[in-house]
Amino acid sequence: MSDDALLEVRNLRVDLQTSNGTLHAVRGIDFSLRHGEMLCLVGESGCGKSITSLALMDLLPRNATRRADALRFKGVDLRTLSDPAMRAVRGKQMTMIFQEPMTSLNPSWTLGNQLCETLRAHTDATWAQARDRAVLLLEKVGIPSASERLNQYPHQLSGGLRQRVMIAMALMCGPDLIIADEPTTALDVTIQAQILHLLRDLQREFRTAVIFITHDLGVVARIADRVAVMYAGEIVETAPVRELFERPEHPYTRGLLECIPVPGKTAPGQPLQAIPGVVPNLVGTLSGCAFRNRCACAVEDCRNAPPLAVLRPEHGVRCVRAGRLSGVQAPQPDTSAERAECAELTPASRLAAQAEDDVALELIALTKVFRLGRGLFRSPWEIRAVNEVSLRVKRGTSLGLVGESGCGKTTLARMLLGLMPPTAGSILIEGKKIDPTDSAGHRALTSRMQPIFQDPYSSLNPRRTVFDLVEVALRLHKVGTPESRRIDVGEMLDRVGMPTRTHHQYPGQLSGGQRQRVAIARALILRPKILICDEPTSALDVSVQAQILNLLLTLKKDLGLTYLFISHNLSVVEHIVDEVAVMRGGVIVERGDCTQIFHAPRHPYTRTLLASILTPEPGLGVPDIAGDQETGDRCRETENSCGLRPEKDR
Amino acid sequence: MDSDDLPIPEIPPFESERIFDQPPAWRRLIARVLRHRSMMIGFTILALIVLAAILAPVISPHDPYAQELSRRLTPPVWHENGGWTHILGTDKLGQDYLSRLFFGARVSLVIGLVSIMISGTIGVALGVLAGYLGGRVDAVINYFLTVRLSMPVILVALASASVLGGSVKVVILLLGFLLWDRFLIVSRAVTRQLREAEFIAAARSLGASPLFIMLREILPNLLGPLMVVATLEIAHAILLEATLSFLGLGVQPPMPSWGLMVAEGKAYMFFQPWIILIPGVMLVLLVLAINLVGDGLRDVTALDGRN
Repeated sequence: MSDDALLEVRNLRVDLQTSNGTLHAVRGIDFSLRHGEMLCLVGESGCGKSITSLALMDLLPRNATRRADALRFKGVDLRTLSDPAMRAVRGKQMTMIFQEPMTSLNPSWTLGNQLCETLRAHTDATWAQARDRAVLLLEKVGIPSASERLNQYPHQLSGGLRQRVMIAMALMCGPDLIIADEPTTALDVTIQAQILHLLRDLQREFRTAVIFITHDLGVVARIADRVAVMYAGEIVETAPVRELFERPEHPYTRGLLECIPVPGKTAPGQPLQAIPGVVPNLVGTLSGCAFRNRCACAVEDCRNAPPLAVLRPEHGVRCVRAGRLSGVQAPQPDTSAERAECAELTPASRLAAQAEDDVALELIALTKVFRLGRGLFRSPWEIRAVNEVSLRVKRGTSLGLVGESGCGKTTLARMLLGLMPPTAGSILIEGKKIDPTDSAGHRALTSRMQPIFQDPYSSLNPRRTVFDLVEVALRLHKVGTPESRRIDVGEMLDRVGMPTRTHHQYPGQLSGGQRQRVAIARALILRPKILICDEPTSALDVSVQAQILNLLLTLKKDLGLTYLFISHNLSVVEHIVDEVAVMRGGVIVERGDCTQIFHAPRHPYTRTLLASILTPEPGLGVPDIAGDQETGDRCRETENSCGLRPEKDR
Repeated sequence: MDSDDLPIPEIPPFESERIFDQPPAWRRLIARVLRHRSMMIGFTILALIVLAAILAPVISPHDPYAQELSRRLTPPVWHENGGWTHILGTDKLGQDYLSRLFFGARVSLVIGLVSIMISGTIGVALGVLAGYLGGRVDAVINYFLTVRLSMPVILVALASASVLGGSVKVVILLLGFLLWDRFLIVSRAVTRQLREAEFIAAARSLGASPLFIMLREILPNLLGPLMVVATLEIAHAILLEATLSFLGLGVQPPMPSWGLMVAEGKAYMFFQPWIILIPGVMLVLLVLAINLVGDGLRDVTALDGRN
């Protein structure tokens, strides 16, 4: 490549020794990076993008080995650097921003200390000089009253502010390269937009090259100069951002672009073009194209490993049929049946069918107050996590509850499920008042309303088999005989798309999507009428998210289910729900029909939320979310500083 | 190579194909067990000791209680005065040392296993209750724990044994009611973590009772950490039995026990060191083997996480 390349990587390989054998996490990737360029590495979990960044920083775990034909940074061969020499590069010329702002700052030191330390370790700057630079950078990253902030500790800041501090810290030594590993994934959407905006501005101002790692194509489209799509430890396609989004070549890239719901583009309620199957486990040896078992365009030739074919300048594709698929529309066998079933479900007919008084779930002034700080000499104080929320969900429709973290949506869900007694207010199911605290009421509740949780890795007991996980609900409610239960569970697992051979596996052997399918089967086995879905797809990869959303849509129609769909992902909400309620600070600030909320929002907060949706449209840039949000950020700060997580029942 | 003419297949043709060549799960488990060398060593030693204990009546060359005073303190076979009649020699009463060693293994293993079953049941039951229910129950159980931790085990065991008189039964019960503290601490801590897991919330929203959740949802997930505690505590119990027997308050002669054998041999320590070395080394080996197996089991049965 060109001589002015800042970083050049040739045939980088990383192997991890695990107890099950060698895991080839990165299988020979090539890329180069110019000064001041923003390269996005995009891919699903387990595709090797984080390991790649750790390999560049030489921060790999002990059981990993790194090999490369070339690994040049500013003309220096990183492979030959000793540990002390590498330490001098790290932090000074090459820095990293991590995903989790809550744990990436040391809680025992002040911000000033942590910021200045980096600079003092690498240069002979005095404390005063370091302080000045810290103040300057904190102001640059948009932290008000920066000099006072220097004496604060990380716990006094909200997640968004912490991530800003992390960015300032990365910039302290004026690095040539910043590696940002999912820096906004843990943040709320409005904060994410602000941070991305900031990162893009600073990158241009300081002419810093950035390797930005993410799974979110919306983010990629808005900030990248160039994109490298990774799959199973390989770069399958690399191109300038506009080129990639307008003319994707690799079937995987095209699949990824098609499987995310985009407001205004994908038709709500219609099945998405999911990529069948799951991301493979990388233990063992690979032969041929790693994507061929999920690829609808696969041919016999895919058994041979494809080279990276250069189609146009800077556009490389690792596919044997590269350049010949442009006109070919990939068939979608996985969803065609579902699409046919949903065909008659247009948004209008979905709503019109409902009679006015046919209410499945009604909440009247539901309130939850947490009393905190009870102690001998402290006066208790309260947090109204949910404040007099009243909602109605009509039978057979779905209500989307959107809001950012700490807005009370999870607390609301837990009260509905009887996991937490409400402080005041009542819950009505099909017109009947339910008291979830007494056992009869709870029983009535559980047979009509079931949850689907966010994290499929913690919502299934790891010591039960798939079959057992679903059957236990029937046994608890003493439904049927062992024989009838066996048939029932088998049918339900079929319905959610779990093949028979998986019925006796443990959750540890399943992928995230499969686990979520099991969770759905478990929720449905008692034939409830209402499902409370608490962020059901936010822990899943995008290609799997589409499968689960399609499944939820099909089940809703087939079984006449009512959904309360809680999410922070507005694109997903828009795709799946009929009505939306926007929640903030424990109250519903706006509610209405889905199309109305998305096209004519009234409340300013709703507008901010909508503005921060990042659709995968290159060239639009990151929206500038107004400074009004900064105060919102600080509001949440006080909440966070008392360590309140509303999930805890106390 | 012109693949354009190929018809586009209906379904991905390689869907069921194994792209990554991997051995099946059970073979990987076996490979993991075999590769865990320290566990295999521990397992071999433990298996030999258990076999010796079970087959003691069959493989013992002599009656362990038969005294032959004329041949007392015969040295073992590798000693210049030793002989093949008594491979490990005889003790001060002329009882065959090898046979006593075999029968003594029974006492050690039985005391180790049974007392840990008792203490494990007490500890885990209290720990899960305290961890899951929290609040007042937790406070009361923690009070019991503090009381128990403030009592020195050996002192209490000695005092009680001297009142009740030493026997295998008394030692088992004593240890069973004294060694539950670590079970409680570990199971309480793990339960508190699990209580927040979403699968517990899922079980509650399915209408499961607290008892069901504690027994069926939480308990199986405690297995890993408890396995480690149990092996540590079995070793602990075996050593305590040896200590009590050594001090004359555990197993009573003429019944053979490794601790008792050390105690009876202490007078001859300087002139016939083998007489305490043999049971002493066996104790060390047994405890070591149990710990190795425990650690290995934890590693091998650990759930496959996300790779």
